[in-house]
Amino acid sequence: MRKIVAGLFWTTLLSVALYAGVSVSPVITEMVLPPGSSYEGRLAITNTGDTPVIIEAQIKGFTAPGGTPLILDPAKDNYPYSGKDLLQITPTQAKLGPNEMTYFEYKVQMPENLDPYGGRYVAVVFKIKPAVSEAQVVTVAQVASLFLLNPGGDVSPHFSIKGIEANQDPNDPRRVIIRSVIANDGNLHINADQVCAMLHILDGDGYIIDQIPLRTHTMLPGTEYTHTTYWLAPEDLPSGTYQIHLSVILFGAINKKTQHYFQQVPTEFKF
Amino acid sequence: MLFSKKVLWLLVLGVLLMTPLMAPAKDKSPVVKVRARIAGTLMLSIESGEEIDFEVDPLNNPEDTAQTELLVITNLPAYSVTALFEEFVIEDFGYDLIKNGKFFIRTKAPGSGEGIADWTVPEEGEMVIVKFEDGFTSGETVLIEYMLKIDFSVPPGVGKMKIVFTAVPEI
Repeated sequence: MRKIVAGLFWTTLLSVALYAGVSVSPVITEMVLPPGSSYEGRLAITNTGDTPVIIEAQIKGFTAPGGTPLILDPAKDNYPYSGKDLLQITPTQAKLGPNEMTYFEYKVQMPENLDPYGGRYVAVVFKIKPAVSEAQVVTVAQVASLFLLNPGGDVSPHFSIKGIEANQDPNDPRRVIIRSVIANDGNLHINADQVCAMLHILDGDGYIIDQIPLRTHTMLPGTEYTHTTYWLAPEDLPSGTYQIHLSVILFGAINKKTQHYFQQVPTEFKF
Repeated sequence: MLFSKKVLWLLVLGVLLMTPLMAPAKDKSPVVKVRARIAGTLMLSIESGEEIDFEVDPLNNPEDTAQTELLVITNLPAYSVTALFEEFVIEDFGYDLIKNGKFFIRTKAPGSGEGIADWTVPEEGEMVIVKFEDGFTSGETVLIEYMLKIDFSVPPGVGKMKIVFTAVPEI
């Protein structure tokens, strides 16, 4: 037993390394890049730490299943709209002194043939190369610059409402948790500023009791998002069957048809 | 005179100041349309907890905690932070502390964002640790706490792990 205890005695605590940080600008680039065309630009990178560092640039695909961009491991990247092969960057690493800034040049090339046809999503991730360490846990900071590439032509976001579910909080029945799942099954992302979504709570006869705007997010194609909303039913609302109505409007460019989606589910509330 | 001298000078100055901002990108093809949504600066630093060691034994000190502080500066409206936890394996035994539910994290968003309130075993692959945090900040701290909690089922040895934190804009 003593041996096990001794063996498990892990070495000492917390040594704080030098302050290290990286800044990237711009962090979002959205462009219409028709098949066969290319574009060159640059990203400004600053070492915001107080010691010289080596900053490495890596190109990776990304997706956003829950509304937050998630960088994809290239070895496991099977997202059909990943753009990891469309961007090149030079240099791939640079040594920067404290508060020193440099530019990384990029070239993005949209292939002639896209399969599936649609938007492409790629990130340049800037990481401070960690020093060799004997510590058990080493943490590394990195910042991603995201590219949202639209090939133009026959592209469009398209939504599906996968379901709406309302549950009363067991501890407070007047607190209702409404979960609505929305999927973008089109071939292009939709920007949060192009979407308007609203929940209406209706009584059995279709009269509006309350309305709740949903906070929308940019949604990439092939992803879905669960909106969780909390609704506090009025104190004088009697038990009964009510209706939860979700409506979503996707606005488009001039000459593009505005898309409307809605779904309504009857729900029994016991107060 | 349509403009005063002062106004003309301000216009000239404005054009001069704008020129370097417009210069960096070079359009290779006339059909490429770059939208104006090219913006934002995002900075992530590790303020403390860049290197961590835990001290645990199953009898006298079965758990130990530590933390990392990330400093975020940005002019974006909102941002999130994700983390990639590599394997945390005691090599001699091939025992993974994460897969066996011995290593936990929780996080605290500095503002209105969503952190991870309860101790949680990290997910495999990239996971969101703070989401939809309000931006426009000249410096705020995201706190990540770790807990290693062992018992006699954990073999002796030292495990090593790298954690990669990524700051991403809310798109």
